[in-house]
Amino acid sequence: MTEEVTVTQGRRQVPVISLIWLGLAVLLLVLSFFSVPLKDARFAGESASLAPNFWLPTLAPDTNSRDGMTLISVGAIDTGIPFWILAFVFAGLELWLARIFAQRDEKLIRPLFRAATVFLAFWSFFGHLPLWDALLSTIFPRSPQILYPRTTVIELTAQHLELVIVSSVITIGIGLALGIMVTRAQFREFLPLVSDFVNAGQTVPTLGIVAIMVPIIGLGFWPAIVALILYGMLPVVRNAIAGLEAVDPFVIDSARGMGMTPSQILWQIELPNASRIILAGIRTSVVINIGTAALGAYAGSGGLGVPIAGGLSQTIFPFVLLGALPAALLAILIDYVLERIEFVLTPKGLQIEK
Amino acid sequence: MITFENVVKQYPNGFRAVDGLSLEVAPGEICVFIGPSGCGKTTTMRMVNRLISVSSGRILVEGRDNRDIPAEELRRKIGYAIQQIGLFPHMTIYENVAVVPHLLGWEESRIRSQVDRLLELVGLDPDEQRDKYPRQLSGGQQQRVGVARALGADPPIMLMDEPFGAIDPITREVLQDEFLQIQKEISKTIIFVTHDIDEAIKMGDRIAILREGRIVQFDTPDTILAHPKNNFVRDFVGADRALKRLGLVRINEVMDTDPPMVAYEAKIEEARNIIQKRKLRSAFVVDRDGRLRGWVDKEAAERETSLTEAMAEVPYSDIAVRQNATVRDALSAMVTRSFRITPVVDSKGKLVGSISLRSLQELVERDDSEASEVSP
Ligand SMILES: Nc1ncnc2c1ncn2[C@@H]1O[C@H](COP(=O)(O)OP(=O)(O)O)[C@@H](O)[C@H]1O
Ligand SMILES: [Mg+2]
Repeated sequence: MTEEVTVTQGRRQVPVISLIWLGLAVLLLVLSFFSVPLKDARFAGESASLAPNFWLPTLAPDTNSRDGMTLISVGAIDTGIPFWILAFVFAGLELWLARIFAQRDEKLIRPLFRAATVFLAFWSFFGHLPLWDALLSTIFPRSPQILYPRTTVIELTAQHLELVIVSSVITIGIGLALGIMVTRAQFREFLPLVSDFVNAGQTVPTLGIVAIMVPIIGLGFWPAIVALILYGMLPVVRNAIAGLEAVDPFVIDSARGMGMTPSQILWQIELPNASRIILAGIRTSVVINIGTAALGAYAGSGGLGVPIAGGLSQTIFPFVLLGALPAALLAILIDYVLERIEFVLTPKGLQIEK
Repeated sequence: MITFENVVKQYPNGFRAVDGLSLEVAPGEICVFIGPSGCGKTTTMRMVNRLISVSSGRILVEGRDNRDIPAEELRRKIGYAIQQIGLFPHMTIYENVAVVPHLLGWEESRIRSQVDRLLELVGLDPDEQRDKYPRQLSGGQQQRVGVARALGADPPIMLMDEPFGAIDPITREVLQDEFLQIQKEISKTIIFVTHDIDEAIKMGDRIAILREGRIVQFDTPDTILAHPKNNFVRDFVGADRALKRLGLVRINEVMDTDPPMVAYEAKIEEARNIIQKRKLRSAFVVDRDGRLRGWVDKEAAERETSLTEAMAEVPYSDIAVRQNATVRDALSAMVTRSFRITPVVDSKGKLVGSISLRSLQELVERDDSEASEVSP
C-alpha cells in the first residue's frame, strides 16, 4: 500500500503542479490576514473562507503517483484516497471546528488556524521529497547529496518538538515556582542568589552545558533537556520576578485590607496582574529553546539539529538547510501562536492604556 | 466601637511611630485623625485591621481584642479605602465591589443586588459602570468605586486613609458632601485620616490631632476651633479659626426668623412702613406662596408710587442663601454682593429668614473672646 519515496529516484525537474498548489495555498493564507471578519459568527462564510487554506497545502500533489494527485504529502504517506474526497473531509472538519470556536474567540482561533495552515503548507513541502529534491538540486547543482538519507523531516521535527515541549514545560514549572518563591516576603533573601544562578545559566554556552552533562548523565535525550532547562530558565524567572514586583503595591495592600489570604492574593491579584510580563518571558524562553534544541544533536538527542550537524561536518549544505529552515520556521510559528495566547490570556482590564 | 488602649508601635528600626495612644471611637461617628506628615496617622489606622501589628497596648474592635480575631476575618468586617484607591485593574467595577462579598461566600444573586445598591449609593449608574474596568473611569469615579468596594459587605467599621487626597478640589468637595450624606444613611464607625484641616472640620464628628505618635487634642471640631489646647493646635488649625468656626454653624441656627417682607400684591405704603419701623434700608418682596421675588430699597420705596415699580425683581438664587448653608457661606455672599442683610430661603425658594452682617459680627466677637481665654 505505502510506496516508499526514495532518494534513488533522484528526479531533477521541478514539478510545476506542486508549485502551483503551494503558491495557491500561500496566496489564500495571505488573503486570510486581510479578510474582513464577519460580525455574525454563526454565518458559515467566515469559516468557509478559512477552509481552503487549511486543507489546500496538505494536498501538494505528488507527481510520482499514478493519477498525480492522490498523495497526502504530510509525512510522505500515500493514503491512496483521491484528493477531492480528502478535500471535502478537511473542509467539513474545518467548518465544524470554526463554527464551534468562531463564536468564542476569534482572537485566538483564527491565528491558530493560520499557524496550522503555514505548518501544514511548509511541512508538506519539506516532506514532499520530489519537490524538495528538485528545488535544492537547482540551487546546489554540485552537492554530492540532496536528500537526507537517514530519516524524514517530519520525524526530525517531531523529535525537535518533543525536546522543546518537555524542556519548556519543566523550565516554566521550575521558573515560575522560583520567581513566585523569591518574591514572597519570607524567601526574599534568596532573590539575589536565584537571579545570579539563572544569569549564570544563560552565560555559560549551551554547548558547554551539553559537554558537562554528557559525562554525567550520558548521551541521549535527558542531557539535552537539562541543558535546555538551564539555558531557558533566565527569561522565565527574570520576567516572573519583574512581573510580580511590578504589581502596584497599593493594589496588594487593598487586597490585604479586604481580607484576602496570601494565596488568594497570589492567584487572584498578583498573577493576573503580572501575567503579561510572565507570559512574555515564557514566550522568549520557548523560542530560544527551539533554536537551542538544535544543539541537542551533539548530545545525541535527535531533532532538527541532526542534519545540521551532519551537513556541517560533511559540508553538505542541503542537509543544513533541511534542519535550519524548519527550525527557523518552527520558531516563527510558535512565537506567533504564543503571542496570540499571551494576548488572549492577558486580562482585558490590563489591555486598556491608562 | 474602636478602643485604643495605650497603643505603641515601634518599627523594627527602633522608631516609635505611635507612642502610647489611647482613644475611643464611638459607634456611628466619624473620627478624624489629623496631624503633620509622619505623625503616625496611617500607622495608627492600619493597626486596627492588623495590617500593622501592635507593639504594646491593645486595640478593641467592638469590645474584642483584635488579635483574638483571625486577621482575614477581622479585615472582612472592616471597610478599607486608601488615597491611592488600589482598585484591581484586571477586574471589572462589579468584580471589584463584589470582592468582600465573594470572600464571605455570599450567593451570587445577593451580591448582584448589593453591588447595584452600593454603586447607586456612591452616585454611579450601575448599568453604565458595572462592566467597565477601573482604567476606564476618571479619578473621582474610581474613588467612588473605592468607597463602594470598602462598603462591600456592609462592614460596621470603615478605615479611610486620605480617601479624597488625590482628587481635584472641586470633585473633592462633591465627594465629601456625598459621603456625609451616605454616612447619614449608613452610620458606620469611621476612622478618617487626613492632613487637610478644612476636610477634618467638615467631615469629623470628633477630631484627634496627632503629633509624634501622641494625641495632642481629641475634641469636636467646634471645641478645637474655639479652645485650641496649645500653640501647636492653634497653629495647626490656622489663624482664621474664627472664620472656620463660622463654617460649622448652619444659617438656620442663627438667622432672624422674622425677616422684613412685603407681599408682591401689597401697596407701596406697606413697604415704607416696614422699612421705617424696623430702621432698615430695604425689605424683601414675596409672592403669594411666600417665595422670594426681589427686594425694595428705602429710596425707591419713597420715590415710586407702586411696589411693582419700586422693587428690583431678581431670581432668588441671585440674592438669597440656603438655610442649611453655613454662616461662612452667608458671610461670603454678603461680602461679594455688598449686602448688609441677606435673605435666607428653603430649598423651594420660600423666604424663611434673614441674616445681617451685624449679627455675624457678634458671632465672631463671641468666638474671639472665647478664644482669647486659651492659655498660650
Ligand atoms: N516600616 C517602617 N519602618 C520604619 N519607620 C516607618 C515605617 N513606616 C512608617 N514609618 C515612620 O513612621 C512615621 C509615621 O508614619 P505614618 O503613620 O505613615 O505617618 P502619617 O501620619 O503621615 O500617615 C513616619 O515617620 C514614618 O517615616
Ligand atoms: Mg499617611
